Amino acid sequence: MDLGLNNKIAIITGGSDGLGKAAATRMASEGAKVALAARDQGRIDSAIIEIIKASGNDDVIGITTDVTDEIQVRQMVESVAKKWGGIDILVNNAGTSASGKFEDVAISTWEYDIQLKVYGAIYCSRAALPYLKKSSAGRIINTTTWGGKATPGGTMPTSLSRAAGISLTKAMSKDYAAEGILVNTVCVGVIKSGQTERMFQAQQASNGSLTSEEFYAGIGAMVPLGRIGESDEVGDVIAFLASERASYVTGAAVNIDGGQSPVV
Amino acid sequence: MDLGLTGKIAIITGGSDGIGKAAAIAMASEGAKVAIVSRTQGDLDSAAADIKSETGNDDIMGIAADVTNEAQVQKMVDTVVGTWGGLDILVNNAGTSATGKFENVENETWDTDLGIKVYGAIHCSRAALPHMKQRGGGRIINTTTPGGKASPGGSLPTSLSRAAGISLTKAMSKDYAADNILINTICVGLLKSRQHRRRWEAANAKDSSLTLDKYYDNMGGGVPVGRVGEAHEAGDVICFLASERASYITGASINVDGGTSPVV
Repeated sequence: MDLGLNNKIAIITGGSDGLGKAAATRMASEGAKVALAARDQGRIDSAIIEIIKASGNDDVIGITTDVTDEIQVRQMVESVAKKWGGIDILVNNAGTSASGKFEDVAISTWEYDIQLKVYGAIYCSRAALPYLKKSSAGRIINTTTWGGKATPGGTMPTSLSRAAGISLTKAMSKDYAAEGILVNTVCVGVIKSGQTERMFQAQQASNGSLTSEEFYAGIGAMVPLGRIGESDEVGDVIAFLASERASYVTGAAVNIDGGQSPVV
Repeated sequence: MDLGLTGKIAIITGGSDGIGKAAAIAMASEGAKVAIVSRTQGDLDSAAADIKSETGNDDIMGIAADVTNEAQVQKMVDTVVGTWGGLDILVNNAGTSATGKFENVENETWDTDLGIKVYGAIHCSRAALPHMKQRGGGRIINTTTPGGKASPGGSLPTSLSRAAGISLTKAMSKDYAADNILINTICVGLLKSRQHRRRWEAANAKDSSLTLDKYYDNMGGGVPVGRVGEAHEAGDVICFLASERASYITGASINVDGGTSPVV
């Protein structure tokens, strides 16, 4: 299927790892120019090499950015627009999972989570909108979780921030439909990533006999499909939503969770 | 993007026109074998000819069946499996729109609507499931509407039947995840179709200055993106959900409505 992404210009936050990197790889394979925004220059550099190698597309750049800092976000967006002459696609994907019971979440943890996931998406969207309005096919795709739709216990502050991301998606889809900007979200479940790999390493440190297969099988047992997801299973959906093939889809929240969510 | 649909075997009900035909074209272009199902053999023959000539794929079959009739559905599924040796994908798409205020809906209108949209999907799914299990997995995609999630006034019986279709999607996604059968729904808004064309013809008979374009422009004015969707804009999303690229999506509903729905 031709996605019509050739020469489209995309920014992907949290693009140096996991599903952000997977989305970048798929879009680059389809001919898009892709800018990765993340905090760690070393991870960005190695991600760029991997993406160029996997996609055969040299138009991949990385910009060290902390999305909680509005000024850095603005500079990042301006530099991409200047380099390639515009922006067509923004993927707000930066964020880590932090989940606990209500009283166990310190105020500083709330503030950091909301700053990273909610304000991060707001800053990037505000900075990108003037360019997306000029695009013939503007797209914003927000990464959230199904817990933002149907919140289980023990999932604060992540589920709250993700509910905000879903609300932002729906409201912005209405606000910018007339300008041809389509805004959607993917509600992800448990997906293999650098973060899950670090969780495994931490658990292995206290239980030396735990293998990677056992660790992931334990997570997968919670999922109706019986396995943890791979990052490209999300990245491909993000690329599809960014594509010309999804031209009548806006204000949608697509579960990519192996069937975990209790709601559609 | 390679969708991995080569050689896959699909049944699409309501496949001779509109969204169903568009999904058939998208899947046939990707190398799938496609059986289109509707009530009228003449419509099926001309749609099958169109699909073959557009895609260059000759593995297209038209089977006349009334999805409200369980015996006909069973026979249809047996024909497909007998011809091609299995079944991988079922698209429950048969259905017409019937909308009114509660008291204006006659009992037989309720019966007809539930018969086509709810029992039609149940009969087809029951007949298809054993074959999907035998293949080690499969896909079911149900066509519904945003009104099934957020029902406006004056939308009965359709919204009720569509709410049932969304419920069926979620429950079945949980029931068959362990069999690797992924079940999703697309919630479609206003799309160009033969049904709307017929309504335009009736309106045009009274007011000959009303062109088809003007008719669709008037309808599209109520959609956030400002236009009525094309059938292929839903067909491509169905095709993506049927593909290997959507391998971690089950129990999801995707609005394909140009932003109309009040909810995600």
